[in-house]
Amino acid sequence: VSILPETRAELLKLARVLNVDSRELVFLEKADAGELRELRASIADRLLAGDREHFERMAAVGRHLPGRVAAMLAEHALGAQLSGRVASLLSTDELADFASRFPAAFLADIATVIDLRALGPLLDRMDAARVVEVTRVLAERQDWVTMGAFGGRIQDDALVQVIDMLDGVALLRVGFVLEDRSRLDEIEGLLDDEKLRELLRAAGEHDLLAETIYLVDSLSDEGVARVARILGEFTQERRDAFAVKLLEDAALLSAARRLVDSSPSLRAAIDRARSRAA
Amino acid sequence: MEKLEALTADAEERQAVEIAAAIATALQRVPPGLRGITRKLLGA
Repeated sequence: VSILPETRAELLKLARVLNVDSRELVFLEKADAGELRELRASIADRLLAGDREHFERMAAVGRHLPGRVAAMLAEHALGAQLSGRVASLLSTDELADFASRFPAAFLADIATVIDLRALGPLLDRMDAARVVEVTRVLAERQDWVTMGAFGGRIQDDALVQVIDMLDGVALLRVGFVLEDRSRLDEIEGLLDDEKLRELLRAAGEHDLLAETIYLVDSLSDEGVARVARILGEFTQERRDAFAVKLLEDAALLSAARRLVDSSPSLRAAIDRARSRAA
Repeated sequence: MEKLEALTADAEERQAVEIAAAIATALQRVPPGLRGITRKLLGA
């Protein structure tokens, strides 16, 4: 039995919190995604609680220093490991002030250490160019989980630039682990047909069909219909390859039900694949 | 769940080691003029 996509996405995020390879968490593959999300939050709290007193003292002392000095100490003395822990304890206002003083690469370093739940509110306070800069660094590092933690919170002007900057593979990988999935329709709306084509091609060429189906299944009926339309423009060979992959995985096929219902050409490809297999 | 507890304990231990190393590094690389503030900041 395959791992449900939402469970796999949660395992990737949990692995990030535990700082282990997600394959080490395979024993949790049957767990419910919602329960894994709660588990991740409680483990993040537990890790944050370790030495918390120490970091609270650092934050308190830092508050008494001029912002420029505190930022210089954070970047050049404390480093990302310590600064990220302290940053997790700062208010959004304080964090925004620090963020404005750091170069993008150091901010990206901090983003990989900080409690990811603190990142969302920070984004509302950062200008678009800065968000794009940091996202570019994270994309170069292929840090999809960190990007996914804030991807759904990026403001529109930055989001348009980020989408333009990322290729189909990166968009799928980030979308798969996106923390706030409520804007997926809006995000899909920002993809032009060519970008959506690129994304669907990447699904087939990079074995990212499960990621794609998980994303498509979160879209509105209109969003699913648009994906179906683009899929209908693909070559039959490409759709047949999709169909074969779907038939290999019952959970995936089930998750793809809305897409299959919206796409006569994909349904036909599945019928052909079934006939060949019979 | 035992395995999860072990992984969490490992993560805590690894984090403590990383933090201790980061503190030691911070104290070494801070410019002399900022050493006092840094010590206070780190509680070292």
